[in-house]
Amino acid sequence: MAGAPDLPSGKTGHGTQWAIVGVLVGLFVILLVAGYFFNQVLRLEEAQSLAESEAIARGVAAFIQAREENYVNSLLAYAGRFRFREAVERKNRAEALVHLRQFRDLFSEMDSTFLADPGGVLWARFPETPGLYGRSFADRDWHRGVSREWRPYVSEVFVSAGSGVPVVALAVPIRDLKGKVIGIIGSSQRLDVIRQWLLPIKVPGGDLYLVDRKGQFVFHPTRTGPGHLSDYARVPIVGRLLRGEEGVLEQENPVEHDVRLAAYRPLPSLGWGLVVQRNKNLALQRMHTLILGSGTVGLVLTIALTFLGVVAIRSQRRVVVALDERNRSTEELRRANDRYRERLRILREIDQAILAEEAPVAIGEAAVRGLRDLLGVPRAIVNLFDLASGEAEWLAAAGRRRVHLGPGVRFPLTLMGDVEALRRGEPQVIDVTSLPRGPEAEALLASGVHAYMAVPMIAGGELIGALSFGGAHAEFPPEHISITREVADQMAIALSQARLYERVKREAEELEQRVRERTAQLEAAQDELVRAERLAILGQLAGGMSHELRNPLGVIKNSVYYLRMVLPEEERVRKHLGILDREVETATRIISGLLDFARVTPPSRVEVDLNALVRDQLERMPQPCSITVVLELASDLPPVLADPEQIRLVLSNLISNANQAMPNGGTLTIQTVHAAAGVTLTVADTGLGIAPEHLERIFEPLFTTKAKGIGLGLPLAKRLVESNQGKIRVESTPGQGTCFELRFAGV
Amino acid sequence: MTHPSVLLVDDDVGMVETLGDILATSRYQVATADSGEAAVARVRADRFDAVLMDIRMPGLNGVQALRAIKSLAPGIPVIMMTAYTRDELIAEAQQTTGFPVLGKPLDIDRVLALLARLIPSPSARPLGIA
Repeated sequence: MAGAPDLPSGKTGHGTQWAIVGVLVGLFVILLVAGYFFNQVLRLEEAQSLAESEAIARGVAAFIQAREENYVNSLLAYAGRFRFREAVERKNRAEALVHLRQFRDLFSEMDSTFLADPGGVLWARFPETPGLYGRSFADRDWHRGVSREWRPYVSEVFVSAGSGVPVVALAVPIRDLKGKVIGIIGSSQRLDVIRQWLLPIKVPGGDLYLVDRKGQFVFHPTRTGPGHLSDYARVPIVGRLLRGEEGVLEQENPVEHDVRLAAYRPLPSLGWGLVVQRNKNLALQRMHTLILGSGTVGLVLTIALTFLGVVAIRSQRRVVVALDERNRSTEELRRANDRYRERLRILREIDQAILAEEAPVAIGEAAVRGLRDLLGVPRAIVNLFDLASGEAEWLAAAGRRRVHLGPGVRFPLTLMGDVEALRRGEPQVIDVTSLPRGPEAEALLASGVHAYMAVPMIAGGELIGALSFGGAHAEFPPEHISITREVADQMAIALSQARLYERVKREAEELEQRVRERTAQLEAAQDELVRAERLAILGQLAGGMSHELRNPLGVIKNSVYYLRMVLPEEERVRKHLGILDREVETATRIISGLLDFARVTPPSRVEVDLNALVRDQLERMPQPCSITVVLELASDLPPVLADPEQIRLVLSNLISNANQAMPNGGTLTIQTVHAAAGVTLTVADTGLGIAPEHLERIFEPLFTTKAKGIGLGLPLAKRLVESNQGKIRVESTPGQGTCFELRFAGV
Repeated sequence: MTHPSVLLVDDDVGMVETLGDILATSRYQVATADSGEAAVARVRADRFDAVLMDIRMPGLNGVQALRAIKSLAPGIPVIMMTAYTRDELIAEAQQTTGFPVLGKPLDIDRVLALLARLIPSPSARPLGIA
């Protein structure tokens, strides 16, 4: 006190008064200080409570949003699938139901999955409810919502027409390739399922609830069943949520007479709002009021207050520490939440890849790549089992850096652990060091894998393979196992579908191939028919004409004969008569050929001695002296079954061809051979030969290279030989000669 | 002494004329008919040493005419000819006449040889054209 030395020393009464005043002032100051500290404590307490509520609300909101978005994204992935879209476009209920069932199998917590046309008329639902087909749901909130802008929409709470319980519906538009909306796929989610995953979330000293965009409870810890459907839009905090506001609110509970601090937060993508509320510490608040109100409390109270002040200071320190702690845990919660979101993202990517791909290998690669990244393991593999052979094969494998093409690597099924247990759906942990020593175990150890886990893939009750992943340690966190199980289930469905699809595709291709072959056969038969028809017409024409020509030729021949009888022996006349005679002969021969060709009749086959036939025919066809005839006839030749007149005609054609091919003379060789498969007869000349480009056409009717002749001799020979169950073949070298070979089966 | 007489039957005028000339030059008396009916009438009216007849003719065909001629004069040799090598009438003609049916265009040398065999020594007789 600066002024104390100036006080009169004798005025002790004044001194006491001042002392009392001083003490009172001191007390007052102490009171003020205590009040201040106490106030600080309360504010800290309140701030702490609010921060906590907000952190919880943020975390829970992110959790709910991630979960619901996963459903919506899965629906979107379905709506984008080609085969599914095709089924929707054709309104093929049977096929659509397969897809709906599959979706429901993936998300068994869903109440139902359904399809409606863009107008809201329901046409497929799983579980099947034929009574609802054809019914219009155009006035339902899910239809109004999704059709407003054709975007995914989460509906308000309503009672399901199918199951009679409160649900929310997720509705997603299905578009065709041009982007036109062709239908809606929806899925309804039971509120009691949502309740099951929100109920375990504990809010210290309070609780949380969720409302939809109409103010109905999506989740409330105590209200269930019909309680969901009450309208709470008038409650101030719900009103704020419905307006899309976010914040904290202090509200008094008229029933319990306490005050609650509530953090509220909208979930815009779902149209929901979340409220986290906690009790405010009312007792402290009342005491605060009491202390500030009483300015004249005694020393005891002052001391008490001072003491309280000290306590408050300590408590403040504690609170600060606690706040730090809370902030840290909030941060941790946030990080955990980020991790969870990242995990969901990768899982979704795997899902979408699995759903989008059609080839098994591509599905497998998508899965192993995602799984490797998600679990952070050095290797993940999709193994397909061949239970019959006791072997497994890699479909796809992802190593540390790259994705290998799987098929081809085969190994014994025993490397996958207990197959029976896998069949029951139990994952297997395999310790590589305990495996029997072998190339597989060595290779695993060399690549740094000391233990791996095999998670079964089961489709339609059948064990089709396993997903395996491994690393240096035999520790597999439950989280990894549950993720792998989820991916394995998806894979199993996708693979069995892909196999089915490939089988159908293969069968379709085979069918197409058969149709192509059959078509080719039919076309060939058709060509053959047309050719036969043309030949038949030609034959009739030629036959009729030939007869008519024979008469005038006969008359000309007679005339020549007569002239030769009566004309004088003049050389030039003789020559011309000779020419006339020869030309008539040629014309006659051509006509005979035509007639023969037109009149091939079914052979009357008897046992024929080809050697005798050859000799006889050569006798009938005397060769000019420029041609040497060589006969090499086998002495042990067995008879053949043939029509002798037809074979004679063939011989006559071949001999006369050989004759014409050697205008300047040569050698005609006729050979018979007793071969293993029967009898061979060859007629060879040393004449002009046939050009290679003509060789394959010489058996075609009307093909000829001769100036004279109409090209029927060889086709006739071929027809006759073949109708006698024989074969004819030709070889020729231009300038060296031609050889015809006939083959007949022995008797 | 008369030359041996041959009745030549064909609806083809060219054939009748050319073959007739050849036969006449070979010292046969040649009578002609252009149908089966005419041939039968000729045989009913006159006596012939041989008949040379086409199978395919309008009206009464060669084989029908042949049957009628054989019933009128069973001993007369008849040689049939045709341009149709696979006629169903050929077999019947061959059976009735006892000679092979000759194909057209005719091998005249063969016709003359056959006639010579049927009618003995025509060349010994004096030449005369009917």
